[in-house]
Amino acid sequence: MSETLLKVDGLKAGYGEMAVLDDIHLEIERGEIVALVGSNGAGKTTLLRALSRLIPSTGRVTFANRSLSELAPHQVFSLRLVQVPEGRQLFDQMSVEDNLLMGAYRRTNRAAITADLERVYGLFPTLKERRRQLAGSLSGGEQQMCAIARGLMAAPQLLMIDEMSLGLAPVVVDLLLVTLEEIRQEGVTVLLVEQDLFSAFHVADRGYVLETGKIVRVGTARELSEDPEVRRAYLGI
Amino acid sequence: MAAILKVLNLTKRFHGLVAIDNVSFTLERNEILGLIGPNGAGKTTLISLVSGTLEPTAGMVKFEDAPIHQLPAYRRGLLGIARTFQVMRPFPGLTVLDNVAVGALFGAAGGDARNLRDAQERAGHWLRFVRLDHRAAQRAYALGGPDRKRLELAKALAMRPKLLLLDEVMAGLNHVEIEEVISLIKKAREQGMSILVIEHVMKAIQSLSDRLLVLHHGEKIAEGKPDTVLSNEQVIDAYLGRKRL
Repeated sequence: MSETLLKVDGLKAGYGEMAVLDDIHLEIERGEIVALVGSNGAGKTTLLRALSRLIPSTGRVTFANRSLSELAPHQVFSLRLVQVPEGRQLFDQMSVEDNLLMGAYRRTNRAAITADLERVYGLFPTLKERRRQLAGSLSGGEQQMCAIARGLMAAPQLLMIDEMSLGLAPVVVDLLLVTLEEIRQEGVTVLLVEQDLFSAFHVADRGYVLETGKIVRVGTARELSEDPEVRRAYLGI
Repeated sequence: MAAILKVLNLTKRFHGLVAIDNVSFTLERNEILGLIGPNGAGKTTLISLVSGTLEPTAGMVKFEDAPIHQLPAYRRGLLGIARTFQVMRPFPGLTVLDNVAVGALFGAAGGDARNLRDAQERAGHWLRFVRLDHRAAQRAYALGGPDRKRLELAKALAMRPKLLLLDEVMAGLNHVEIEEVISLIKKAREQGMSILVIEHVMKAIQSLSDRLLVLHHGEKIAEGKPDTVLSNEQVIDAYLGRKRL
């Protein structure tokens, strides 16, 4: 039984005078892993920011049967629509563990929070070793792990990950791809922005291709990875 | 072959943490050496010790046979060492051209540029080299990820370094853009530079590197030809993983 979790109709967004996104339509079913791909500058991050309500937008966005149009970012976050931002954006002067707990700040079930903390430590043992260290002292890749783990700590219904593999060792990227499959089994839906299309299409069910602010292709991961235009533009094949 | 860079028993401690643990290696003139390893292995720290943004706890760094590990970063820049940063920090309010002109003015060996106009001309050359000249007049803050990477590279190149240290210049780029940067780096080598490159993009590391150096927990665990190193069991376990896609 499929159930629409996120529905975007005619979304437009930009920065001041500059229009970035034009008439975006998008639908994500609960439990899907959807890849959002496109060149740099296409508007992928802007779309995530608009969905999180970090920037204003027009058009209709419905998430779990609620309109997001009037909501502030923290209210969207409380609905457990969670964004892992590009460039990590950690609280540098707080410990790794406090950063992770900030991900759970809208949650009240302490036992569940503790269990999730153990889980993300299982996923990223390095973060456990460094849990008392300031987040700002982590290496680049470790900061990326911390940002993703903080997103998971929010117990998301929809997790939007911007540039997941950025700066991560190959073995860690593999681990994350497996993890996405696992959390999907638990009912988490994922919207993945990823430059490495081989990784993205390996794990995604479907994909959207964004070009200069418009959706130009929609299809299953297989269809898109076999599409000659996509292969030429993004894989250089 | 003559060595341009010699690193001898280098160690860096941050309080209790040994970030670099007794590492030695040599970079030959005109060589491209790839530096890989798990996240937190000490790769960026090693580049910082060579470029002078950090000072070692013990050991020695020799550039063209002279010890440099106690020199401040700007002196090493003047000697001919330039680096890029993982998190790019352009001067946001300056134009793209002037950002690169700063590199040319500051310049390595001989201080190429004599005045601002000269520096801007040289900057224009490097912007064409990295294919960013169409954005020369824009302010740096307007650039997105990949163009910032190109700018970061142009700034370093404008210093006319003999030794170029690259810290993940391909992160966040797609496959087509990665191919472009690979050919830029090869072009830089053809111009006589020696290059130390940190990268997680295996295709890039394999096609660029003459040799690879692998760090793990601050220690050197492997060094040698890419094919040999990448089939090393310890490297596969610590870094590559068993299940490559």
